[in-house]
Amino acid sequence: MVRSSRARPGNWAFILNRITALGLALYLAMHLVALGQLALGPGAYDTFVQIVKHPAFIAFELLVVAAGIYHALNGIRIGLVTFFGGTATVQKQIFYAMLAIAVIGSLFFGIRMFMV
Amino acid sequence: MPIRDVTADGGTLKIEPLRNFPIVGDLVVNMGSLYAHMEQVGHRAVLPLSEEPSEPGVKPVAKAVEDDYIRLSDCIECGLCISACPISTTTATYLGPAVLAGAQQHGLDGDPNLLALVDCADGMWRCHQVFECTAVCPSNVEPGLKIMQLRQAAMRQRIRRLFGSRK
Repeated sequence: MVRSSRARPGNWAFILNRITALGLALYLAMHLVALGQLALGPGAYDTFVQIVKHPAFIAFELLVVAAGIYHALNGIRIGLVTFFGGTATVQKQIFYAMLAIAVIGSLFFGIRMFMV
Repeated sequence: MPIRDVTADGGTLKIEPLRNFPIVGDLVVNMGSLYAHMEQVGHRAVLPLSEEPSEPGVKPVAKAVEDDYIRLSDCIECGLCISACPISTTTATYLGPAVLAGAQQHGLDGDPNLLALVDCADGMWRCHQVFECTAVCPSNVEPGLKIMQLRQAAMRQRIRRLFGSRK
């Protein structure tokens, strides 16, 4: 068994922050394009709404919600350790707590989104 | 990670040269840039005990005589923090945790050249708070914490300058 020296919590926090940032930026662009459908009239928008009601699309939106929750919470961790130096000594614990909140939040929204 | 954690169940140890340094050959890397930067930021290898207290667990010295004692700095310039830093992987111009911790040890007060060196995109603001530097440091340096303290010192200086202080 080979354990990578890269598979460590700090590196994962950094990589996930980057991936969620890219994902959220991409989602924002898609969201603006989708809203542009309004300009094409009610028929075009209704077609679009039918697409987003598909379970596959809801699953994709759940990923966006999870990315948003994680990115926001990690951002709070980064703000805390930058401006309140004492928290840097417990930053790993803060990261794990934020990760747990992100997982619980994602599960909560996932259940809500698929039950409606 | 202790070596026995990997080898106890028949695991394989992979030994590589330090990352983020130019490789000279085999496991040998060129650490000249690290040493040059450490000198540039004024990192002191020997300093009074009052300026850098020993690790917890070491018998304390009375505060009144702390300055009478000197010790070797915690940072042994091993380069492990730079090797572990993913930002140092993405850009060779980043000063790195060891150098920034050395700058924090020196202090920014009254040194505009040092402030200019570290208060830039390739200095303390390049850090993304990964804290792997702190995790791998074999000594008591806590470079991640020192970078955050350096940022706070720089922000205090900027605020003072904004309100017209000459310091």
